[in-house]
Order: sequence, then structure tokens, then C-alpha cells
Amino acid sequence: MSQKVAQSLRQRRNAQLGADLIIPVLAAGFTLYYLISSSNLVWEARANGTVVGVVLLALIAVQVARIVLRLRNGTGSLGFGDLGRWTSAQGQRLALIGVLILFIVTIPWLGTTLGLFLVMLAAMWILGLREPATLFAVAGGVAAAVFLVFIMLLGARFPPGPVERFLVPLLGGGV
Amino acid sequence: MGWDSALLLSLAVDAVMLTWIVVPAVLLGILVGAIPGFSAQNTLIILLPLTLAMDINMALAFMVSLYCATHLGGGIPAILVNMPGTGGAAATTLDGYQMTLKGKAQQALVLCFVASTIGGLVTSIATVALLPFLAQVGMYLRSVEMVAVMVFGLVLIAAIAADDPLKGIIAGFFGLMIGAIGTDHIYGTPRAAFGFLELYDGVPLVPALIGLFAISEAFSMMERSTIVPRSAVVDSRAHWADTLEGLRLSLKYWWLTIWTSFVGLLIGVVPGAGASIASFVAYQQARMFSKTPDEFGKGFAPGVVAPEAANNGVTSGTLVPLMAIGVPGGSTAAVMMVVLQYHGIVLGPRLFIESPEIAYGIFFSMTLSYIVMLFTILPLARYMSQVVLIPTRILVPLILSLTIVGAFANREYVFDMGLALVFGVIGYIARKTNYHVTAILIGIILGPLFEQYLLRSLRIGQGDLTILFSSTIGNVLWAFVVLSVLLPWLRSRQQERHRRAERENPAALTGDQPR
Repeated sequence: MSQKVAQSLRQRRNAQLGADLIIPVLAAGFTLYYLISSSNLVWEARANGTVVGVVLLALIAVQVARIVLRLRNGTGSLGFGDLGRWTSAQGQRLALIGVLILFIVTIPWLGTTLGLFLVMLAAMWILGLREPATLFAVAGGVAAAVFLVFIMLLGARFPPGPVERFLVPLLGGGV
Repeated sequence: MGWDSALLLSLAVDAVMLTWIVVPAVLLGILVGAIPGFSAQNTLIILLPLTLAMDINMALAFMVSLYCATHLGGGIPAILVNMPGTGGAAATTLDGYQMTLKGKAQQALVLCFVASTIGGLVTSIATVALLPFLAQVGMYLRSVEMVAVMVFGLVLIAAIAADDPLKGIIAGFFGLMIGAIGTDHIYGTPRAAFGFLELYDGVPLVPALIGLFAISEAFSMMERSTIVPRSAVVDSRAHWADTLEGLRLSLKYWWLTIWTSFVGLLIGVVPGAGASIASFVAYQQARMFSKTPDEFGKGFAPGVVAPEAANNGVTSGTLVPLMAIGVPGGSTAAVMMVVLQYHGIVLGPRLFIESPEIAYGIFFSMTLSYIVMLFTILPLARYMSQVVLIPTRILVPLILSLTIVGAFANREYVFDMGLALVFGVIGYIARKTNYHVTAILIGIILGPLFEQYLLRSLRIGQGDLTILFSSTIGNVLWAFVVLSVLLPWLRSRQQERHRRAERENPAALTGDQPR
């Protein structure tokens, strides 16, 4: 057996089919929620979701059947592959999601500029950047650029915090 | 539809007046195109707050120029480091990198730039000439046909773009389902809004776009320290003799440039086909009709010219379905659709009657951007490759923080930032499991439009679904839908059968016969 064929067979046997089910499960869950929550509405309000939802559920059924067949043939397992494996990148990814959630929750108090500065600092730290000069220069530069371009120049109404409340009136704008 | 020469002249003047925005957009686009994994739509998403704040003509000139320039920029790392900056440049690596290995990097870059700019110029001019006729096609489509057109477009995008057509179609319909969130058009009752008032108007496109593309891409990018390994960068010093030789070769293959750029234009018109497919088809065509097909893959100039002309021909093509029937031909066109809708522009055949300056202005901007590119790119070529060395530990936080802020800028809801993050996680999972994010996004974009046409059809048919199969054009389109699902399925069945045969008798198929 050639190396290429052997490798392809090995890959197929090791296929992590559990991961392939995440999106269909999400989609099916959402479709069922849609169909149940709109069941008491008039037909015009339900029509689109029902037509699309029924087709989507049928497609998901086909995908599930395909996966079951492959499991029965022994050409894959219900594992989650890279998505389920704990790696340093996975840990960093989760930490970044945590930092972003914190940023979103605290932005009404911290304001955009300070929040952005802190989130940049934290994110670069999580990803392994340790030089203080680079950390502060990049985070400060990005926060300053957003403040100048979006808040001062374009007048976008980002959530104001201590920095905006102090600097905007000073530079001739209004928060 | 007649030609209005005064309008065309004023549009040409307007386009020239926008040179100041086209130049930075071109430079940025080339830079972005040179970064593998970064694409025009990602950059446009990051800069979305900026484009939304601009006047519509300026925003379009900026977006179109950046879009076209990324296709050109993608060829730089493909040639220098064997790593395509964009999917459309993947075919360029075949001969481009071989030329670099032979010490002809500068020649290859010049070939790439000239083919790209000429290809883009020719097709954008041709599209301006053809648009009125293409737009009239849209006039013949009524609600029933539009439902079929949308399903056809979505299925085509899913089937062509995704490795597994079924996964792509599931992703597309998942997007359509998400697009159905919000209050209905007739009675205004909220559906599947999870109790959030912020979702009563439907899922906002900007956070969805940001999450599915930029945030998910940043999450994927974290797995590498730099986008390109430092060791892979080849020192390519510029020599004017090489540049002149590149120009001579470009002139020699002028016919190939024109022909393959039209191949790109045609493929671009098909929703979902995109630059990757176009460049490979063009490469294959060039090899098929070449007198020396064996030279391809060994550093042969036409192997660089054909894919580069084609992937720039695609840029005009993908905008055609967007302009003519309101269905985006690709993900960058989808981003542009978001901006156009934000500015209240109604896409479709009426666009040419109500806002001809927008419809044609885009192509005038495109033409101008290619002219600007021709003059700016040659001196900048050798510095561009260094961009790929920016560490991801700086790039990822930059993308994440700027896009999250960008999600807020559109509607000024903190809720949208959270929504972008949710879509980012969905997009990341979809990428990792090969469910196509473009299909999800196009589903979300088409969702409300699809509902409008479906409801209109169903009300005409008094709730009877068979109305959808009552028109000839519609039925032809439904037949295409079935074909575009069946053909990839049959192909994968054939491959499966071949694999099974290999498993049962590997020696017979691989040539490992015992001697």
C-alpha cells in the first residue's frame, strides 16, 4: 500500500466526527426554539422560519445519518479533535474570550479608551508578550488612535469613561 | 437602457476626484493582500466604522480599491515565500515560487502586477459596458423567481466553496434561519429574539460579519507565532533589468492576460465561485492551450500571468450579481452590501434607475484604482514581503480589540459587542469543522430578503407552497439548485467508491505491483 493511501485511510479512521456535530446541534436547537416559540403566531409570521427550518432539519438529519454510518463502519469516532483537546493555544483562546467579556461588561464604566488600553495590554500578555515597552507602546498607541480618529475626529458616540470625560472637553469636544 | 454620456463623464470626474482616498486604500489593500489569512473582507470589517462614517461614494471608492488591491497583494507572498496571501493567489505559487527559486523573483512580481492590473482594468471596463444589459435580466425576476434565485445562489456558494457540499448547505440554511430572527414584516410580532429588544430589528449584520470573519480568524491565527515563518522569507533584491524583462514578458503574453481575465470575470459572476476557483481554472486553461504544457510548474511566466489576471477579473464579476439582483457574489461583496444597505441603497435592478451614480461609480472607482496600482506597486514590491513577519501576539489583540469596538460603532449598542463575540465563537467552530462561514453570513444577509419574497409569493398563492414552482424561469432555477446539490454529491460518491477500491485492492490502483 502506498504511503499516501495509508495516510488517507489513517485520517479517515481517525476522523473526529463529534466536532462535525457541533454546528448541526446548534442549528437544530435554534430551529426547534424558533418553531416552538412561534407556533402560536399567524401563518404569515411563521411561514419563512417553518420553510427554512424544515429544510434545515432535513439536511441535519442527513448529516447525522452520514455520521452514524461512518461510526458503524469504524471510519471515525465521536471525538472533538482540536476543538476538544486542551492545548496552550486553547487556554489562551479561552482567556482572551474571558478578557473580551470583561471588556464588554465594564466598558460603560471604564470607557472606550481606557477599556481598549487594558484589553490590549491583557490580550498581549496572555499571548506571551512580556516586554513592558512594547506592551505599553502598542496598547497606548491603539487606544490613542481610536480616541483620536473615532471619538475626536469622527465623533462616534463610544461609551465615555474617565479618559473621555477629562480629555474630550479639554480638546474642544463634548462627551 | 440607454447610455447617458453626461452621467458617465461626471462619474469619471467624480472618480478622479476620489484619488486621494483610492491611493491609501490601494496601499493598504496591497499590504493586507500580502498577509496570508488576512483578506479584503476582514480589513473592511475592521475599518467598517470608518467606512460607515464616510460619504457613500467615498466609502465605495475606498472599499473597491482595497478589495482590488488585496487580489494583487496576494501574489507577493505566493511568489516570494510560496504562501498565497489570498485564496486567489494559490495557483500563483505553482510557477511564481519556482521563478523565485530560480532567482527571478522580481520578474515574477512584475508579471504578477502587470497581469493583475491589466486583468482588472479590462474587466472593470467591460463590466461597465455590460451592466445595463445584466441589470435588465433582473427586471424579469418576480418574487417567485427571486426565491429560487436566492436558494440557488446560497446553494451554489455552499456547494462550490465548502469542501463538503452538505456542510456548506447546512451552514447556508443555518444563516437563513438566523436571518429570520426579529419581528415579522406584516404584524410586527417578534420571533426567536431570545427576549432581547436589540434583536427585534433582526440580527445586525455588522456584528455578525465581524464575529464570523475577523474574530474567528484571529482565534485561528493564534496557533502560529508569525503568519509566515521567518526562515521562509527569501531575500529578493530589486534589479531594474529584471523589472524590464518582466515587462517584456508581460507584453509577450498580452493575449493570455486578456483571455484569462475574462475567464475570471465569468467565474466571478457565479455567486460563490470566487477567485480561488477562477485562478485554478485560468491556470488549467493556459496549460491546456499552451504549446509547451510541460513548462508549467517549473517557473513558466504564463503560470503567473493566467491566475493573476483571472483573480483580478473576478473582482468586477462578484459585484455584478450584487448590483443586478441584490445577491452578493462573494464575501467581500457581502461586506459592501452591508455598507450599501446602511446608507439606504436598495440593491437590485432598480438601482440602475434610482441610483445609477452608485452602480456605475463603483466600476469607475475600480478602474481608477487599477490605474493607481500600476504606478504605485512596482517600486514598493520588495518591501511588501516583510509584512508577513508581524508577530501574531500583537496582531491578534489588535484585530480583536478593534473589531469589538467596530461592532459597537454601527448601532451604538454594547449588546452588539457581545453578539460579535458569540458569532466569533460560532465562526471559529465553523472554520475548524469546515462548515463554511461565508455561507452562514450570506444566509444571514439574505434571510430578511428571502422572507420578503417568500411571503409575497405565498400571499399570492394564498399560503400554497406550490406557487414557488409555478414559473418557467423559477423551475429552471430549481432544476439548477437540484443539479448543484446532486453533482458534487455524485462526485464525492465516486471519490468514496475509488477510496473503497483502494482500500480493498491498494496495489492495483497505486501501481505498487509486485515485480
